[in-house]
Parts: sequence; structure tokens; C-alpha cells
Amino acid sequence: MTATAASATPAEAAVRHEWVAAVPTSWNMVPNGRDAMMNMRFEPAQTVFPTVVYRRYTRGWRRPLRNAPVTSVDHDLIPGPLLRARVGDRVRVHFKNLDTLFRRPHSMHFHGVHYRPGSDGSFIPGFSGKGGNVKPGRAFTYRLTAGPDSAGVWPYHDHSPSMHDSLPGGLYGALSILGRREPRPDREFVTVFSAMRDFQTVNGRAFVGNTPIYRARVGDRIQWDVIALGSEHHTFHVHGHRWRDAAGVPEDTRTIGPAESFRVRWREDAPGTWLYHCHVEEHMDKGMIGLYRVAPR
Amino acid sequence: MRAALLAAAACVALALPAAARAELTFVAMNQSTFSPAHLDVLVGDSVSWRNSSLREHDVRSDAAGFDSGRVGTGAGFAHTYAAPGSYPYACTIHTGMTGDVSAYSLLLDAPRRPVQLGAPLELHVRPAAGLGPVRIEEDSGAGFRPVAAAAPAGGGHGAHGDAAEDGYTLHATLTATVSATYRAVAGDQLSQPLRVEVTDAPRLVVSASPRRGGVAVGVRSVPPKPGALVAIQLRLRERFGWWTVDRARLDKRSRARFVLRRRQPVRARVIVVGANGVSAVAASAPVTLRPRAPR
Repeated sequence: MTATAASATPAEAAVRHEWVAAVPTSWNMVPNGRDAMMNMRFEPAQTVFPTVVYRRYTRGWRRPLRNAPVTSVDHDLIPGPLLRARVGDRVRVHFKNLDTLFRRPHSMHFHGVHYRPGSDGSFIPGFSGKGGNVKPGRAFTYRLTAGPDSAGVWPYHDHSPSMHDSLPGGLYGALSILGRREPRPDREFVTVFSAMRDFQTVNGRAFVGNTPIYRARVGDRIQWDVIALGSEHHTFHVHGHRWRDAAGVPEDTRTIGPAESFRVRWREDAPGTWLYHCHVEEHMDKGMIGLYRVAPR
Repeated sequence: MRAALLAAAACVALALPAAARAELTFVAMNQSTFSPAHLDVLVGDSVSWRNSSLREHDVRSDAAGFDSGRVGTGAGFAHTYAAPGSYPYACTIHTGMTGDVSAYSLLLDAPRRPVQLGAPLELHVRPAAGLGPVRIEEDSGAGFRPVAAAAPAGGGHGAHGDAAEDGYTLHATLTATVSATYRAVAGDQLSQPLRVEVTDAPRLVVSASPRRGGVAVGVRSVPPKPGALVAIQLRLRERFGWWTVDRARLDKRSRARFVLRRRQPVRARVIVVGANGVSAVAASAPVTLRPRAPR
């Protein structure tokens, strides 16, 4: 497996508007109710909990949209909407706090992009503005710029006074920024490692069948957007595939710490059903494992 | 007070208790987890940890005052809980591999799955030997109140107790009317609280008709439940179980229709979605969907 090198079409710098809200939902970490690898069963009382998540909306928060084009209605909302841009773009994220569940303040704090302190989205008593402490029912617009050093994948998350409750509940998402001339991948897989209650989750789900089933075809240009949130280190491992690190050394496992992120790319050439997982064994046992299915061309 | 208790138990049938002995419960030591990680036991019961993984573990509980030492693959360790209390334990070799045992003087058993409204609700109590009269209390939102009572060696209202030295089991049958939390009480001793969900979810009748390139699935509820949230689930190999693929609300006629684009036959069922927005509180009988091949 080798890194992708493909031509790209230069794009004009743009101003992108994103409409996002923090909304309550009921989340099930194990919808099929089982760890199929160990043949263990779980009751809804162990796996379902009320929480607040980021959700994409149409302009003016008129109508909710799916966060990502996925194949199942049962997997959306965690992580929040994938926000895409190119280097040079300006991004306006219009955020509204619709937390009618806990009625807590929330915010959006973005990694990897440029902004003034007012758009930092973090709460500092006596210093931060409204953007770090958006009260229920209120809105705030974060003004971001994708600089020359912003190409890559980055997390965003709540950094308000309630972040210690909301992050373990899934109030986070991903920014994906391409270079000005970088080709867009055929498949982009957002993969967020995070502990959630008694489970170790990928995108808020635990155990094979529940975690995202990523799909591709031989010949596709694949991009994994890998992010870790929480207080633990993880390792990103995909069976049957290798990629190269920044120094050109092949690897099939890469370590990632809290709030770190990276993207991994390859041109797919390995049909079959594969596992991906965190190789910290305790995390794998507690659910941080899933399927990657590659169809023949 | 006694009279009041018995009056509250008027709607309850208490069956003859059966003799019970101290029980042994097994906990699997997996690669990095205990399963189940939490246990409720009766005082006098034993727990046996069995190492079903390929590496060594141990079980240590400062609260319970034991340390198994190293337990190899296929080996085990057991401990008997002699006093009520909460006893966390851990494998000291593998960080994060933890569990806990709660020991009670009364142990309550109740249905773990929702009980249909109006159906019999079976409750079972194992009291430790030597306890006095036992009552079952219910809290449906206004605090606990007695709903059943019995005493060892007879003396209960329509109930009998077998006061054998090794204990006994009381069986109570209530009528499921409301979701509630139950507990058993004897003097100052309490069992663990158990939540029982009561559902009035209707029965779902599913019909399927092939369409070009897929299949249409109709569902109706008996009795009518217009507005109820239902979801269609498929038994998918890659999901290792039932998986929701679409949702709908029953219309004014308590009907809903799903159209699935599929090429291969698949097992399907329709569920009534519970108050938590995701759990199934009732499910139709599974049907096999056989799509018509596209032209």
C-alpha cells in the first residue's frame, strides 16, 4: 500500500457557512445489544443514556440535517458534522445552543485553524467572551480561517464550563482541511476514539457491528480522519493495510493521544472484510473495534 | 401497622416458599474484563472467578479482605460473602480490570425485560436465614409502599414461610400496572432496588409485499396506537444482530409503511420504540423479506 499521489484541481478561496446546534438526544452505544466477539450481551440500561450532541442544520437552524452521509439511520450525530474546508478558506460556524435536556452552556472550540481570541470558544472566567459560554437558547458565530498550516484533520469540541460533562457524552466533531491543490479522497472515514461510560467507543459506539462499518472499493483513494478525545492514549490499527509515516517508513499502527489527530491515506487494493481497532487491548475488549469492508472493483 | 401492610397486600398472591440454599455464582476473567463486572448476592453466597483468558490474573478485594494470588488460564478462585456490604475488587496485574459484589441480607429477583400492562408480575425474594417477616415495597414515584408481605414459618397473609435454617424463597405475584422500583425489607435490612418497566406497547402485525428492486413492509398495531414511534430492523450479518434501518410514526389508522431497496432476502421485524427513543419495548414476529429482482 502506498500513499496517494494524484492530481488536483486548484480551488478558489471561499467563505463557508456552517450551521450547527447542540441538541439533546438519546444515545445507544451498543444498538445490537452484544459484544459479538466475546458473545456477551448488554441490556439497554447499560448502553442507553441521554446526552447532548452537535447536529448540522440548514441556514438559520431551520431544519436539521444528517451530520454525515452514512448508510444507517442508527448511526449519526456522534461525532458532530464533518466540517470541510481548504487552506485559505474562511469558515463561519453559526452555533446555537438548543440544550433543553440539561440546560447547560456549551461552545465550539476548534483545533488547527486561525482565529481571534473571541472565537476561541473556551471559557476563561473574567476573560472569555460569549463564545466560550453560550447559554441555552443563545447563538454565537465563530470566525475561523484555514491557514497554510491548517491542512489536515482536527477535532472541535465543547470548551464551555460544562465540557467535563458534555465531552464524555459525545459533544465533539471533526474539521477536515485540504491543501489548496490537494485531491479530495473518494472515501473519508472520520474515526474518533473516546471512552464513554463503561465502554471504549469509536464514534460513540462499541463492539463490532455497532461501531462504524467503513466501506470502500478497490481503487478508491481512502482517507482516515483519526482523532482521540478523553484522557487516554489509543493506537489506530487496520488489518491487511499499511501506510507510510512522515519519514516514509511503512506502518500499520499509529499511536494517538488526547486531542491529537492525523489522517492516513492509501489507494485501496485489498478486497475483503477487515478489522480496524485500537490495539490497547483493554480498549479493544471494551468495544473499540469495528469492520472495514472493501468490495472488489 | 401489620394490618395496614396486609391490607396493602390484598391484591397479591404469595405462593409457598421453596427451600433455597446458598448459591455459587461464576464470574469470567476475560482478557481485560470481569464478566459480569457487577453482582448482587445473598449473604452466605459464594462467587467463583474462573480465568477464561490466555493470561494470568488475580482477584483482590481490600474491602472483602481477600487476595487470590495469581490465577492461571483455566484456574479459579472463590470467596463467600459473610456480611452485607459493597465489595469492590480488581485484578492488580491489569489496570482498569475491576468489578464489585454487593452482598445483601435479602435478594430480590424481578423481570429484567418490560412486562406487559395487566400481565402477572413475578417477584422472588431470598432472605438470609434468621430474618423476621419480609415485605416487598414498590415505588412508582411517590415513595416506597408495601405491596406484599410474608413471614417465616407461616403467619403471613395467605402466605407461608419455610423457616429452614438454610433459608427459603418467597414468591409474590402482582399485577403489572405501572413501571416501578421494588425492594424487599425485613426489619432494618433492605434488598437491592430493582426497576421493573411496565409497557402498554401494542402487538405489531407485519406484512411484506415484493416490489421491483425491493420490498414494501406494512405494519399495524393491535390495539390501535396512532402516533407511536416504530422502527424496522433487519437481521444483518455484518451487524451481528438486529439493526434499525428506518423509523416511522403510526398514522391515524395505526399503520405505517416502509419501503426497502434490497436485492437479497433478509429477516426483518418491526419494533415499538420505547420512551428512551432507541430501545424496543415490543417487537413483531420476524418475517423473511423476499425482494423481487429488478428487471
